[in-house]
Amino acid sequence: MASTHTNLFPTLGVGLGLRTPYAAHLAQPLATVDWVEITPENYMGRGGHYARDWQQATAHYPCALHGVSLSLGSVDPLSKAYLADLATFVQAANPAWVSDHLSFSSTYGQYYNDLLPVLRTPATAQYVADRIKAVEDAVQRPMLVEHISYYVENKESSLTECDFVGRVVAAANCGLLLDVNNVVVNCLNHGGDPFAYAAALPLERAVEIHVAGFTRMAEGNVIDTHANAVDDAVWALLDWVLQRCPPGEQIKGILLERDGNYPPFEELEAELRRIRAFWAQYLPKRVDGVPVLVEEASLP
Amino acid sequence: MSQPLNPVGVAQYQLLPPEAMVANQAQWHGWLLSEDSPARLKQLDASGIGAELPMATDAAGKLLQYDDLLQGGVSGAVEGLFPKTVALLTGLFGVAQVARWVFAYRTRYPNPSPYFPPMFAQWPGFVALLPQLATYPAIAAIAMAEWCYLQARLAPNPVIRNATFTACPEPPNETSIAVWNPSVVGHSFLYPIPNLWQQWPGRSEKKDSDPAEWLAADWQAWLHQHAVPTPTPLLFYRNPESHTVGLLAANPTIGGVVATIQLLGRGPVIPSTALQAMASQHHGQLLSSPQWGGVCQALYNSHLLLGWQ
Repeated sequence: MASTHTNLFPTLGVGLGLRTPYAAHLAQPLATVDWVEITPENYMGRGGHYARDWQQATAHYPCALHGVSLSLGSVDPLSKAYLADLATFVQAANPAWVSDHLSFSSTYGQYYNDLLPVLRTPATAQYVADRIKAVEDAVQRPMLVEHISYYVENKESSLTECDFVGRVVAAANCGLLLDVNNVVVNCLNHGGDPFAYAAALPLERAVEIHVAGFTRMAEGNVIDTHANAVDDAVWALLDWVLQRCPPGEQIKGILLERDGNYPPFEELEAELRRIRAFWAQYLPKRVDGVPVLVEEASLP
Repeated sequence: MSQPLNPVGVAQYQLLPPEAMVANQAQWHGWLLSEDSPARLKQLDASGIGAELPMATDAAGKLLQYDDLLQGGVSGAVEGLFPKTVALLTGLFGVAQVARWVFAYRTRYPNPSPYFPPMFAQWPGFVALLPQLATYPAIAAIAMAEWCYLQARLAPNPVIRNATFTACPEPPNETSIAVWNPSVVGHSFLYPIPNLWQQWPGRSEKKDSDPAEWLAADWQAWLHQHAVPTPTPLLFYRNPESHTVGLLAANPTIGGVVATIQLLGRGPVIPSTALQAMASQHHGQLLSSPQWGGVCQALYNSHLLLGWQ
């Protein structure tokens, strides 16, 4: 399923998001972690333990940047100040790629503290794609975009989420950051089959996968909190995706996200080992240097 | 990588969004900042945004806990407190002195413009004053008023109205405001604000520690380390009984509660029953950090804790 586009990206393996509670662990080489993902807003231009944390981590691991503030889908112009800072940080941290979300989080200069869904039309897809190109141009790194978990549907959208994502990544010629937790969360909240949802996404452009846990609310909805253990439905979807998008061959990195309710690091390592097992299981076997992929007929 | 990845230039930064997108986000903007989001929500249902609102349903359930505060407390406090505070301070210290304070802050922090979120950047100077409550109580009073203003201003946002606001110094020299949004997006963010001594660019971080642990460990340790003078007002809390916002003054350096209650708002000057019980229980006592953390945790668990400083 891999497109030639994914060959632009180096293979990183199984990674963990750099967060303060785990910074000390990531300041040393670990057998369970191949790379780290850094949220640039947390570290750009900062000193103290912030600078120390990312510098120590990147001394041992390759990294990628995963931002939350680009507001790619906003009607506001891209922030030149943010892009300048991001470009500076890219030069310092040397990430394999830069990613952010296919959403908007600001309008008219007001930030909303959330990743909000973009109106999905062909015109807005092109608009977002052009902005992705502008970001790549500014930071000089290939970019991935992550489809978001969203909780409100825009009735005026003319495209499905998956069609919209497909148009954006094709027009921008960028990679997809596939968040299997977001897929499950959206399907639980809005209805739908996660496997069919994932199949409708442009998986051939998937370069990185995010794995995380969600929180079930009393009202029955689920929130993409990254604050719980990875749900079985998410594990199942990861399995399904990797059967179709082989790690190393197409998927260059799988990342475990944890942003709250922090468990002992050993618990995260258990989840990392499980991801590593998937990685090893679906890493294409090679015969005389030629990859032998999993037979399509054997897939569920 | 010397060549641009894409043949685009500065012009791309000025792309004009499609008209429908502008209209849609204008609706979002109005909705998120609306003073009467329930009514607005219905309008949006009709206009297209809020057709299916699993999150809004969830948020609405949560909002009920806060409506008394939002509608009767903080906004009322804002209406009256801010101008009264300014009037009081100018009366006490003179217009020139107050103007000097404001000018000093606006000069020092003209526009930190953190990419995210600029909502606090609009009032950075006053927010940055919060750690100086002990040293400059007059300025701190302005800061408190501003804080309430922010609460009221931000409260209508259904995404962030459930947030708690925290001002917390983080070592080595930072002051931060955390917006805590566990019930809606499940994320917590920490917004460092430039402090009085060093210019720190406004940055953000997902807050990543348990509130009680954070307070008991980071804050207490920082205070001990820096020998911050006391008493330092510590807890902001909401009082559902009197529709007020409270401030619990404490002596964190020695880990003890001074049990001075100051309330902001239109309601009677009484603390909430729960907080009153806690305050009287610990009045005059020296509390260890874990005990103090326990008080904070209890407030947090009872949805009374809005934040602390």
